[in-house]
Amino acid sequence: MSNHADPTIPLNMPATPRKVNRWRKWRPYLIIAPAFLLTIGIMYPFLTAVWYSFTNYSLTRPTFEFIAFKNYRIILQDPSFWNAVSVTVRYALGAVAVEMLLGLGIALLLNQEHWLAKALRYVLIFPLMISPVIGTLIWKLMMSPSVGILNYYLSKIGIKDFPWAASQKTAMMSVVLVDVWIFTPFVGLLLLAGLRSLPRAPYEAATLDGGSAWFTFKTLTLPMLMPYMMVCLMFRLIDSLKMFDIIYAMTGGGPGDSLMNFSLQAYFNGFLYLNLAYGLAYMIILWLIVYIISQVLSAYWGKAQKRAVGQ
Amino acid sequence: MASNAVRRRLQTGISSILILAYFVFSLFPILWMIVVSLKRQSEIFTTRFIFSPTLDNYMTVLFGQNVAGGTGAIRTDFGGSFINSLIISVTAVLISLVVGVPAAYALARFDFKGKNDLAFTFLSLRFAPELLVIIPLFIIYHKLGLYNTYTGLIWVYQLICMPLIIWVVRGYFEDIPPELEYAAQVDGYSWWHVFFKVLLPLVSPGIAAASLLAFIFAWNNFVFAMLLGGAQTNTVTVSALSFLAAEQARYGEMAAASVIAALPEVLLALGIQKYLIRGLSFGAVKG
Amino acid sequence: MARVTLAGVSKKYGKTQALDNISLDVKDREFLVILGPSGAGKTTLLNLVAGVIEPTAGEVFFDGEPVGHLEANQRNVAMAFESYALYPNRTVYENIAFPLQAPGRKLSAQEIDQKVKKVAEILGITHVLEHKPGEISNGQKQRTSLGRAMVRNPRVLLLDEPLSHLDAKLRHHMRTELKALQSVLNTTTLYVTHDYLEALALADRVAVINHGKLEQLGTRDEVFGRPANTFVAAALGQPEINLVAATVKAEGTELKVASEDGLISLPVPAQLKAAVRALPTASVTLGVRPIHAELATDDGRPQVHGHVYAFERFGTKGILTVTAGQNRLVALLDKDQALPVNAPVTLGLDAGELMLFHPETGRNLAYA
Repeated sequence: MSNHADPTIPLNMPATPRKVNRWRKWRPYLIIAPAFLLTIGIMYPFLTAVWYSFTNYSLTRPTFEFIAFKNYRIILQDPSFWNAVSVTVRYALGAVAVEMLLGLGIALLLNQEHWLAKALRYVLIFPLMISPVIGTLIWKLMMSPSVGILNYYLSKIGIKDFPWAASQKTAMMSVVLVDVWIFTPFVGLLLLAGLRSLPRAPYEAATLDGGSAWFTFKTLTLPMLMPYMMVCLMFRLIDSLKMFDIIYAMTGGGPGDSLMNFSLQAYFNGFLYLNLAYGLAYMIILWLIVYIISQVLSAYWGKAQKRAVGQ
Repeated sequence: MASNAVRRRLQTGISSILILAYFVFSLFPILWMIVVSLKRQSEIFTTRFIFSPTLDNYMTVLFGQNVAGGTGAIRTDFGGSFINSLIISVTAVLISLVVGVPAAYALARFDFKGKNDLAFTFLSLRFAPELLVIIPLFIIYHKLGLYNTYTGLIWVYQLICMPLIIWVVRGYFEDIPPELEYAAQVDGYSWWHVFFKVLLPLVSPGIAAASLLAFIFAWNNFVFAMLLGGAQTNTVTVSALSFLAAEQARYGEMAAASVIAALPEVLLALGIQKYLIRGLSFGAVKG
Repeated sequence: MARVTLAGVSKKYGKTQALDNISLDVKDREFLVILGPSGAGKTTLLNLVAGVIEPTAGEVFFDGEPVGHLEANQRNVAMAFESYALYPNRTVYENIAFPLQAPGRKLSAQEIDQKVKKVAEILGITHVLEHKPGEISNGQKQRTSLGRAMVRNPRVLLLDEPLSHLDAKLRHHMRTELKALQSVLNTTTLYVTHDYLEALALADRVAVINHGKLEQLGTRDEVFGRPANTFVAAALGQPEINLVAATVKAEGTELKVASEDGLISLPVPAQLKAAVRALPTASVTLGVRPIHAELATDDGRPQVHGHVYAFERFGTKGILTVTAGQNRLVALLDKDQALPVNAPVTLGLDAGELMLFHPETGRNLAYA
């Protein structure tokens, strides 16, 4: 097939034994080794957690024994567990729903070109950067019956002595309020970035075709924004299911057990009742839920990305 | 056409009102906190915004002097907590960088078996419930003597910092075309030289942003510090909460403590506005 | 300066075979052009010689010594990339100076300055030395990339489609410049392109690559005048060579090849008769280059009668497409020889330049 000049060395085997560059071969593994080892170091406690949850390890007992699924059986029959389920789910759904809507709203509002919108884009992030505990402290002060400013203004419009976190009825909304205050900027910033990265051409076409604002929003903006919303949803949903800081700082789980979500139950069982294994069982269940959600939402995110590009 | 202009004016007006409403909601608590922190004990219970400011609360909080007088327990060493937070957060981020940046490169460039699994394992650390890890670590740390130590906390903080660094910096490495590395190699630079002289300068904005964000999240952490740290390693977040535990009405000092705890990161965030989106979404969104 | 040899080199990416068993030899100081369509594997080949990737099979030799274990920075090659690969945070000056500052190269700042300025002058980019790549035009980026490759004295110079992103005028100019540079530099050069005109203008020899396989390695005349197969024949020459499915017929003592409708009929050249007789079937592919087809005159050449399909002006030339029964033939004429569409026309073909290819493998029967 080819006509090439005769080489002066045989084209099949080299004359000298093959030298191998070992460096090149092992380099990728060496580079990633530290991070890998660190991760193993973190996985180890996780694995022991799973193991311990199958025991009755408690700091009140000198020894412990393997009791398999007993902890889990007890949990599933424990009314506190089901209360925790209710609290966790209500907190997560409430917080996420408000944050997604409010975040989308603020993103749309800030996406405009007038000076107010542009200036306030920079300030959007502030609450997000504050530690949730500190943020809760701030709101707790504002909600304080004695020195709090909220009740002061509320009394001016006829609502007296709003109990905020002191009453079982209003405690949930109080903590959700703090969550919303801190984390709406997360959704807002991400969706704003998404809005600003949308291509102009479809919108120009829609204007020519004479579509209403709602129409363009529904058929153009929303689908193209879907991948960003999926990312927000995933991060916020998982974080709010796990939430500990805000509730602990606000009321420590009360009043009563109105705010005892999974993480708080784990804390109480593990560190206050010293029944570490039982507390771990709570966390394993939570982790399973979180894992499943992350897989499901990741898959949806992938689909949403594809659909957004297919437009 | 006048109606169009009017409609647009109205739209701008309404949206401005809505925007302002949100930002009142968003910023008022912070401003109010600053106001309270500057108020004298005597004026605390008033709701006036015009008052004579004082730095007494800050002095008391930072230096433990009971400047303002009055009743109440002596507070914990808040200034000390501030330093603890600083040491732990900075070191945690530095270690995450040393370990994470090469890992980010490896994930961006190399193709090896189990690469995606490894990448998602790094990410899953971010989603792990903290208490799930804390309870066994509590036992392990007591056995190893890492309870209430800087080392112990810095190690756990990797859970927060490392996934962020890896995923965000990976995106920045992926943005660099491989030909650039080839060119530098052909120019006579060994792989290490290429990494340090060519690649790192190009990803440095991403590294800076990811580091700042990781620092902020480490600084803000509460649970790890509370449950795996002790009196000597109290961080700012734990200390701030202990103000509440002590049943006193020293609201001014609480406010001052909150401001001291919150302000640094708010200011830092201003510096990374440009790279914030990539950092917050772990690289899922290229802002 | 070095002789570069590839022995059985293959590169596989997952399931894709980028290079398949390539063996070729580049003489010392030779200018070898690697010609092929996009995706043929040309860049992969250069990358293998440079050492930035490793072959899945086979070995690369410089002057007979295997270099597989040497990393790119140890091979003393220089490369200009198709995408330029300029360091975006460094100025043009610093980009060109970068290779001279590599660890192990002990040059004084003064020497470096001299070399950089000299190269910049040759390439005409002295006025942009202080600019960053983001601020200069494609042509200037191109020349910076070349400058960076030229500023050292490498054993092998690798150029990957250095002119493909330039506009036609600049490309023509740079082609001439490269030709002049070639003699100045006097380095073994591997030059990749998909433009056959560049190949013919610059090459000592041409390696034609398609789908990772080496189709032919030969001098310009060999590759153009005696293409190894239909692919090579079609790759060089514009307009493309006319390829017609034909059958072999015996007319008395004469052997002829003709299209099915008999409208195109040519005698088999003497040197190909044996190969033609050795064919398994009577089918064969016939090849005539457009430059070997003219408007018929009474000179006894084989003729083809047909109708004009189209005439296109092409600078000083004109491309005449003729429909003859089932087939179309393209002839390269002068721009003044225009003819109206559908007019009857007769072409005269140069029988001596007729090429015959195996109907299935496409191999040139001259190489049987």
